[in-house]
Formats: sequence, structure tokens, C-alpha cells
Amino acid sequence: MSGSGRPGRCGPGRIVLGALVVAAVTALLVPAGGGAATPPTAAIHAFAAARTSNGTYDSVGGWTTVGGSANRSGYTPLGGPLSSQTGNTYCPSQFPIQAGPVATGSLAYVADVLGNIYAINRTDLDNGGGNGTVVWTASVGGAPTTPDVSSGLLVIGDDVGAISTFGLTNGERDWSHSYAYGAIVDGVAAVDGTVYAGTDGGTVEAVSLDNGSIDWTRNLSGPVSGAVAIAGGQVFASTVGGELYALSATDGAVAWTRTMGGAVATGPAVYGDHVVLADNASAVAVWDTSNGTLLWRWNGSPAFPGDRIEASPGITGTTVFVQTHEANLYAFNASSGALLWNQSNVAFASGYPALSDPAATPTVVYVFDATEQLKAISLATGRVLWRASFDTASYGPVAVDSGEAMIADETGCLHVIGRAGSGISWPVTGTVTDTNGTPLAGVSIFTGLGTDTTNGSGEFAFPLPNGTYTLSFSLSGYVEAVLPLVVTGPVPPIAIVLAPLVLFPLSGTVVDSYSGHGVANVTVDLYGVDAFVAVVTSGPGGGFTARVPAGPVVLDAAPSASHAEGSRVFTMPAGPAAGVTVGVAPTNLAIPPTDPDDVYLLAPLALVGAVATGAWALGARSRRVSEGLTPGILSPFARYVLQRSLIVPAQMVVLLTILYIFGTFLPAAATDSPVCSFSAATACGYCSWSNFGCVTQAFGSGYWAFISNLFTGAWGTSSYGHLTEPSWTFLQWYLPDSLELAAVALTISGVSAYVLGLSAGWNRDRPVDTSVRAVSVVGLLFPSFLVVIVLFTAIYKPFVHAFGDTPFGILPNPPWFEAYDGRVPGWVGIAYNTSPTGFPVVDAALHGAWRATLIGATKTLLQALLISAIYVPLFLRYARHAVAQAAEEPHVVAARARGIPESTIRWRHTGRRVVPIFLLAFAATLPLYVGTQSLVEAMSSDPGVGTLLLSEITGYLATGFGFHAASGSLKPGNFYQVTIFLVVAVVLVASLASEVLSRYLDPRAGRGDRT
Amino acid sequence: MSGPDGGRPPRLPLGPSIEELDAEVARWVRPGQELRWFLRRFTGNPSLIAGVGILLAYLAVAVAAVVYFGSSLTNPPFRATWAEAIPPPGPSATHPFGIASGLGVDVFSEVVRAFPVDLGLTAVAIGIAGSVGVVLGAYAGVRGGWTDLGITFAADVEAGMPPFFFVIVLYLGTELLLPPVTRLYAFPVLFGAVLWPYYARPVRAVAQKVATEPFVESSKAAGGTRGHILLRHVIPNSLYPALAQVPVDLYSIFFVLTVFPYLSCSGPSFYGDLTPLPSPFFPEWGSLLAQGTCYGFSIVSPPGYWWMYAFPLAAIVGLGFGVTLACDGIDRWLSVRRRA
Repeated sequence: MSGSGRPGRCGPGRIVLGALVVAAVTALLVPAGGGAATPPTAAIHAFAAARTSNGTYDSVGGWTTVGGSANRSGYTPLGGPLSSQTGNTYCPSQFPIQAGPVATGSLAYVADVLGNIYAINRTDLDNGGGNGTVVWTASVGGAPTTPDVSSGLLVIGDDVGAISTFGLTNGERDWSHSYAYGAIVDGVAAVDGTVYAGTDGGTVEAVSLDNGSIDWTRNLSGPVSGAVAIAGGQVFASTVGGELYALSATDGAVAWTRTMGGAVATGPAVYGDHVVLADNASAVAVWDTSNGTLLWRWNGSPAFPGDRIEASPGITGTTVFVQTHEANLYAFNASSGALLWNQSNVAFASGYPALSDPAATPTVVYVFDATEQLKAISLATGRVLWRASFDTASYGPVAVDSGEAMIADETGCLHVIGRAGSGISWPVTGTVTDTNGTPLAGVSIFTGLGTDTTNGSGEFAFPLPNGTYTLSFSLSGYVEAVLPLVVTGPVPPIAIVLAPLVLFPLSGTVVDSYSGHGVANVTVDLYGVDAFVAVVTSGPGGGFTARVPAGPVVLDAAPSASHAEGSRVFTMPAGPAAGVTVGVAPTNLAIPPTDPDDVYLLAPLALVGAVATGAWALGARSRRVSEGLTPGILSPFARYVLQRSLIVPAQMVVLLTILYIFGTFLPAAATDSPVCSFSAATACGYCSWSNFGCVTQAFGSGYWAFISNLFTGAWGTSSYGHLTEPSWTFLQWYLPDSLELAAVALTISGVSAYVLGLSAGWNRDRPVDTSVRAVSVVGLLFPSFLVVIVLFTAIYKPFVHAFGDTPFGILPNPPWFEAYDGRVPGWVGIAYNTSPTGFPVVDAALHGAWRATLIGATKTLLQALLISAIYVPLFLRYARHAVAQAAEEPHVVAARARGIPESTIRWRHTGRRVVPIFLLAFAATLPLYVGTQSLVEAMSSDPGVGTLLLSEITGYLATGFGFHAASGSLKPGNFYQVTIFLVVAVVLVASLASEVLSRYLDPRAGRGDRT
Repeated sequence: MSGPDGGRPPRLPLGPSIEELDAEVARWVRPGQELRWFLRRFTGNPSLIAGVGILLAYLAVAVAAVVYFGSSLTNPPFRATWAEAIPPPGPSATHPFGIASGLGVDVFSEVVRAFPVDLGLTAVAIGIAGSVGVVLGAYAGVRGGWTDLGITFAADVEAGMPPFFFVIVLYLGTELLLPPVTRLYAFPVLFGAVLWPYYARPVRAVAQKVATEPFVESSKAAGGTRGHILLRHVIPNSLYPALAQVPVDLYSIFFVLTVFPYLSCSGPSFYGDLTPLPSPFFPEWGSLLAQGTCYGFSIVSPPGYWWMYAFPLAAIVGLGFGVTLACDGIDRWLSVRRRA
């Protein structure tokens, strides 16, 4: 299975990480192993034999699609690179490569997650790593899958179910059609003028390569699990449920179906009359293509229970090979199923699972595994012939074409290993010493083409082909040295001297992100500038000390027995620093048991409370009776308040239920996750949706866990950019800013709504009213995000001119601080949170930063005006009618008859009467207000709760609390659920308060109501 | 008081029935008079004429788009190659609204093809929310008691949540369950489910007052059934707050259709989880506007590729203008009736 089916792997963090890897460091130049090389001529004979055996190869040659050709065998007779000595890197995109590579002739094709397709000239050997080698680019609308090359066209499907074709050499679009069958899975296959595609909607579709018209479609029992394979006039498709279908390529008629047993995450592969499929339980099965007879089946290695296969299996004429999730490579005899060899690399270097589809030539299998290495392994013996290391992860398949192996990575680069004729390599040699002349061993040398390290004598030697390079020499504890180097011939020896880094003491604590207690025995890796690395372990109480260079320091806490990993970035001053905390989330989210003895503490309190309430009620009743008021304990007003208040808890329960069902339970249902994973219903074990009893049990216990976690503050950790912090911390950082903004915005909105509403309502159908109505209509019609954009456009240049800062955010942005103050002041935190109060403008004033206060206040005012501009029209829509009615009420008419001046009537008689009405309108429109402020915050990059909420919803903020599609983890809740709950709770209580206040102030209710 | 015909008050022997009264009125009105009254209510009501006119024009374009594009309505008839689309060409004779970068589509045909889609989306969403809300609100207002309490409670609970977020929560929960092509149909239904309280609450308040008005009492006395009273008297006379709500809902719908695609257009969920459209080529004004603004507008150097956002924006604003005018017009028309 290629990487195209996993868009979620390419999160923002990865992109950031990829961008941080400044030099696109690629192949590690390891001397080649003495592997047996097959002469190309033998390979071409094998190719001819393969063509006659099933006749489904395209005439183009090369590695044209997933698995090399439409039969998805992962096999090419054309031979791969013999060593990793030569190679090139092309970086056409800044985004992860999602589809490809495929290669034919001198071009290779890749597509990034945004749907941009790049045709790269592999004969261009400019080592700049730029995109000057891109011959053409085109784009598709959705996330692309691996294309196929056929009849001079590049055929590509995407995750919105569209198929598009482009000219191979010029990128001109031939046709593009959307089909309503679901996302194309893994890649299309174009054979003999027909394009075949499997979809996650559970269909296989065959469309004409000429014009995209549909030839036939076939519904399968479930979503298709991987690229469909075409061979011998048959289409082979597998479903995620583990069904294998053999369909007629001409009309889609089902020839036979077989069941794998477990869930399947890959597609089938065909060679000759063998079709192979592998499943999530690491089982591999081979059937006869003609009638579905099971030829052999392997049920996974007992040495690796729980291992699974997510990369497509491959098959040559003699061998079946599969790579498992844990980076084991197995080879079997294709006819008998006998295990030939096993190449194991379970020691995770990267933490990434092995997901790339391997590729094979007649003698070598090329595999990209979890160590981020491309390995060439002898097909006969399983011995590693050579390896090339990459500093980036790739989930895409390995492609092999005419002496080259290709892999595309998540930083947007295509790495090509082994193009013949990339020039003569010249030896580059030298020594690295420190300032005392002591040789330094283990210095990493980055060439842009690969990496090397110095030996024990501080010497290095590696070959470089002609080109321009920037060599960097780095060793932890030393200032990195950079050396520009142009290689056109023999290179004289190089002497490098590394100066030691100045280190400062840093002390900190590893803390549990839920309880705040220190966590001992956690390994913390500290990464600083100039490739600085230090490793420390937290002691009792979680404390640790280290010496680090000034500047940004990344603290990575490794997973421990009780806690998950944690990370933070700290800016080290040029001096000692203390109190740096690294939060780690506990892996066991169990609810702490409540002490059963608590009830004995609470019972007497409850008793005292009940007696006191009873005594007060009796007293109140007798007082009311003696004063001749309406009978009962409470006044009518108090009764109203009580009744109205009781709605709020009920509202909250309904709200929680909706948030749980729609935020947790249904997504679990939709992704077919084992629902029991968030339930305590262990008796059910793995329960599927068909087991109703277990599902109801899981619903109940999941609900309980959701509510418990929500109310005990067990909200887990969230990550935003490179920050991973307890979710509570994010709220602490962002809430004061929103409150500050709301205070200003509500004041402005309230005053302007009062004045405008009263004037408009009073002067009905006069110019004031008409213009207010016109403004309110325009405010409603104009999509509000555009209102924000228009205002920012209008003020951008004047603002920058006046303040030297952009109008985004609340406080001045870092460049302003740096230009004005030399650095961002210490009271501004990493997420632009401030201390001591958290209210940014208040804190700026408290620190006497008057220019920053002025800028902060101006930005707050601007945002508040924006919110008012959007919210007041909505508000007036509700309130204007009521004002007009109030203007005609008897006491107003009477006042006018008494000759009281018009302005007095307007502001004293009507104005007062209008306050309760406005309060009611405010209660009704408060949800709209909250939405408006969130929008304005998010669009102004204001670090507030609204930004937080919209970031969570739009997926920038990965949450540790709940179900998150990208991480595939399933927990009973989502951080956006917490935020929405808190926001709505505030809205409900504020609505309650406004309605009660409105009733209290309503002159019609009279004093009797309140006594 | 229970009569032989199942609980209705017995008819007084001497009083005229409703039908007799109607016939009496008809005798006094000259032929053609009613039509003239009807027309006069129109001519004195320019916002109704303008609003209905705009809406009819929108409907005509929608019907024309359906007829012209037929079954290929949801497939873009034109896609520019990359070279043509970056930078995108502005309006010209062949592409009167220019070409959008990114998708490389012809803005004119996209905007036109979106007419039936957007009219359908908004009409179904507001139709569901409006009809459910008005009927439930009026019924609660007339009926009172536990029915009233239940409906009011449900409406209060729902209306406490910001509708934009509420509908997105519902959508995130259900979208994964639905095949991509059906999400578009689920969207207005979810909107209906979220927005009905905004109709039910004000309508209930007015219906409570209307239910005690003399003409309702007399209709009751004349033997009008509960359904007759509700449909004939209460709902028409308590409709006006619902009419004020329609433009606000249109605002809410386009808020969701524009803001979420806009905020996620350059983010990780590029073509996001937050739009119901089955494909980015599916014609819809909100999506066109969001993408047009995202890729065609820069705050630093306005107006950018203005044709990418101006035309979808005009379509949305035009629809909102028509609906607002029509609703205000109908309100005025009904209030004339109320006064009459």
C-alpha cells in the first residue's frame, strides 16, 4: 500500500519539522556491500518473459504506477541501483509528497498533498536541490493518489473521487471528471484504453481513457483497501473487510471472491497466475488467478504477535515478499509458500512504522523501513547489500527504474539513488580539530547530498561529484562550521577547527501534566543550536539539570513506564535558567477513585444545610402571611428566578449528551474503531458494531468516562505548532485575552446598540431608522469574514506606518519587540501569553511598556469595533421592533401630554423601558456574539479562546484528550468538546443572568413581583 | 361542557355559521373588488415587489442552469491548465468572470452552476427550520401546559449553543458515517435541526397573545377546530417574527459555508472536513468565495485577483438582499392584513 491513502500522516508539525531540516540531507554515503550484480541483459530477458505470461504490462516501460505496473507486483525486470554512491535530490514542493513517485523515460512524477503534480527531469544533475528541474506542474483538486502512465498520458485519481489525465511531456490536461463513488484508493490503473479505480465508497469503476465516460461499475462488500490490480483480463480488488474479488475487466462481472480472514489495509499483487494478499494479522495468502484456488497461506510469525502488514506485498516469478508494520521483511517461495528468509529490524530508530511498499528486481529487493533507510537486500539470501540513510520519513512506495531507486518524502523531496553517469566523484578529505588542535571524532558532516562522520583521528573522506556544495561540520558542544565548496576536480585536504560552545546551567522539572507533580526517571533529550545534544534523566521529584547553549532549546521527554512523551521549546538566556517544566501526560487516564469516606464528611453538612433552609422557609412564609403578600415561601420574582435557573443544569446535560454522541461516539462508529477501547467494558473484549449489547455497554461507560474526564479536568495534552502542553494550560493562556476583548467589545456594542436602536425605534421610517435598517441589512448580507478582511485591508498600511507593527494579534509582534527592545520581553510567554495577570494590555501597562500598551489597546479597540460592526446589526434586528413599541406605550403618551420635553421622554421614559428589552435581546443573541468574537479573534491571529476553538475545529490543534482522526487514537472526548462546553456554559449562565436582570428591571413587573 | 358532537360547545340555534357570514360578506363586495384590494397591497409595497422580483430572477437562473447543464451540472465544463491559471486571467470575452487560480475553473460557469445548489441548500435548510419552528412554536403557544413546557425547553436548550458551532459539531459527528455524496443532503437537514428554535421561540410568544384575541375566541365559539384556528388565525398572525429571522439564518448558513472553508483553505485539512461538498469542483458560492478570497486576495496589495471573490460574493449578497426585501415586504403585507 502506498502512502496516498494516509493524508492524515502529514500533520502541520511534520511540515514544520521538515522545514526545520535546513539542508535537505539525503543519502548517507555508505560504502557499497559486495552484492552480486546482475547484468542488465538478463533482466531484459526476464521482462520479456513476464510480458508473455500475463500480457498486462503497458508498452511504456519504467515504473509507471503503484507496484511498478498495473498488476501491482512490485517487480521490475529493469534492475535497480547497484550502490548508493550516486544520487540526486529534487525538492519541487514544500509540502509532503502524497503520491508517487512513478518514472518513465527521463521523467519522474510526484504529487504533493495539495494536489500539485510535478514532472521532474531525472537527467538534470544540478545538485542544488531546488526545483529548477521541474519540467511541468499541474494540479488536481483533491489529495492525489499515485498516478499511472498509459498512452502518453499521466492518469491520476484523488480523494474527492475525480480522475484527471495530463499529457506526459507537457502536463496539458486532457480531461477531468468527478465520479460520485468515493475517494480513489491508492491509485488508478490504466490498461488497454480503460482506467480502473477502487474507491472507499466500496466500488470498482472502469472508465474510458479517451474521455472519462464510465464503462462499468461494480459494488463490493465494503471500501476498497488498496490499489486494484489488473492482469490477464481480470481486475483484482480487495476490501478493508478482507474480501478479495476477481472481476472481469470487460464488464466487471464477479469471477470469484475469497475471504482473507482479517482486515486488509493493502491491495493485491499479481504475477503470472498467482495473486497475493496480506492482512492486518500478518497473514499472507496466494490464490490461483483463474479459479481462486488457495495455493498457500502463512499466518504470521509467532515471534512478532500483533505485527501487521500495511505495505503492499510484492511478487516476482519466484518469490513473494512482504514488509510488516514492525519493519520485518519476509520472503517466501511463490509456489510453495516456504519461508526463504527474514530480514528483521524491529529496533525503531525513528518511531515511525514501516509503511512503504518494497520493490524488487530479479536479484534485489529495495525497501524503505522504519530506520529511515533505503536498503537493498539480496533476494536470494536476505543479506543487506547496501543502505542509504534519510533524515526524513516516507510512507510512499519505493520505485525502481533502470538502475535507479526512488523515494519521495514528507518534506516535498524526491530522492533518486543511483543514476548512472552523474559524473565522476572526487574524494574530499580532511581533519576536524578543536581550538587546541585535538582531533574530534564523530563530527557530522552534511554535504547536501549525504552525511559522513569523522573517525577516531578526526579525519574524514567521502566522494563528491562535480557541483556546488555547502558543507557543514557539527558536533554537540561546538559551534557549527560551514564551508562553501565547489567541486570541479581533485579537492585539496580541508582542515576544520570547531570552537567550543558556551554553555549555561539549566535546571528544570518533568511534571505530570494533569496533577503538576514531578515525574522521576524520565529521559529528556535537549537539543540546542549548532547540533547541540544532551541527555539527562529526571531525578526524584522530577528535577533535572543540564548545561545548554543560549537560544532555543527543545526539551524532548521520552515515554516512560507511566507517562507518554512530552516536548517543549524553551528560549535559553545567555545565563543560568531555572524552573523550566516539561509536561508529560499520564498514559493511564483512569479516573482516580473517590474516597468512600467522603460521604461521612458531607452528610452532616447537608443535614445542617437542610435544617437551615427549612427554618428560613418557615420564617419567610410566616412573614409573607403577616404582611399580606401572596402566599408561599418565595416571591413571584424569586419563583421565576428559581424556575429559570433550573433550566441551566438540564441544558448542560443535553449539551453534554450531544457533544458526546456527535464528538465521540459517532466518529468512533464511523471509523469502525473498536468502541470498547474507550469503555471499561473489558468483558466484551474487542466489540464490533454488530454486537449490540457490547455497543450499549460501551456507550454507557464511554459517556461516563467522557463526563468524568470533563469535570475532573482530565483534558489531556494538546499540541499547537511545536507546543505540547496540558489542554488546561492552553485555556489559561488564551482565556484572559478573550475576556479582555469581550469587555471592550461588549461595551462598545452595548452603547452603540442602545443609542442607534433608540434613535431608530423612536424615529421610525425616518432617515435615522432607514439608515440603521440599511446598515443592519448590509451587515447581515455581507459574509462576516469579509467584513474582517475589508477592515484589515483598510487599516493595514496606516497601522504599519503609525506603529511599525502589523495589526494582527494583540500585543506587538516579535519583530516589533526585537526592533524596538532588542528582544521579546520576559513577561511575554511562548504562546503570547503574558504575566502576571494574563490580560495582555493590562500586563503591558503593569510592566510600564507604554508603546506596547498603546499598540495592544489599539488592536483591542480595532477588534472590538469589528465585532460590534458584525454583531450590532444582528442585535438591532431583534431589538428595533421592541423599541418602536415602547415608544407608543401609555406612559410615554401620557408624559408627552404633560408637556415634558421630547428629549427627556426619549432618554428617561423610553430609554429606561428599553433596557429590559435590550437585555432579553442580548440573551437571545449571545450565541451569535460568541461566534462573532471567535471569528474576529481567529482572523486577527489574536491568541484567544475563539482562535483556540476554531483551530481545534479546523484541525490545527492536535488534541490528546479525545478522538483524533490523524493520530488514530480513540479516547473519550475531544478538546474542542471541552472548549465548546465551557463557552456554551458561559453563554447559558450569561443568558440566565440577563433574563433575570431584565425581569428585575422591567417596570411592568412592579414592586409586588419582587417582594 | 360536552355536547353530542364530542366535546364541542353546542351551536347556538340562532347565530349564523362561518360559511353564512362569509356568504354575507361576499354579497357586499363588488365583483373584482377583492382582486383590486389584493393588487393595491402590492403596489403600495415596493420592498415586496423588489424582493420577490430578485428571488424570481434567481430562480430563473437556477432553472436555466439545470436545463442547460443537465446531468453534468456538478462537473466543471472548463478547466484551465496550470500555465493558464497562474496568474489567473481576469474577465475577458470568453471568460466573462475570469478564471480562478488553484482549481482553474471558469468563474462565470461556476457561479451559474451554483445557483440551483445554493438556492436548494438555503431553501431546504430554512424551509425545514421555518416550518418546524413556526408550527411547533404556534402549537406550543396555543396549547400551553406540558406541551408548551416541553417545546420551550427543547428550544431553549438548543438556542443556547452558537448555531455555527452546533451545526459543525453535528456535522463532524455525522459526516464520517455518511458516504461523501450524501453529505450535501445531510447539511441542510442538520441546519434545520439547529435553527428551528429561532423560529419557535418568537412565534410562540406572539401566538400566546394571538390565541387570546377576540377573533380567535369568536372562531372558537363558531365551532372552529383546533387545526383550523391554528392554520387560519394563529399562524398567519404570528408569522412576522419568523420573517425577521429568515435573513439572520441565511447569514448563519453562509457563515458556515464560507468561514470554515476559508479558515481551513491553507491549513492542514486543505480541502477540509468542514465542507459538505463532495468535491472541490462542486459548484457552491460559499466555497467559491472562500477559495477566491483565500487565494485571490492579499491584505497587503488589494484587490488581487478580484474576480475570484467578487462574483460569488455578489451572488450571495444579491440572494440575501432579495430574501431580506421579500421578508420585510411580506411582513408589511401581513401587517396591513392584520390592521385590516
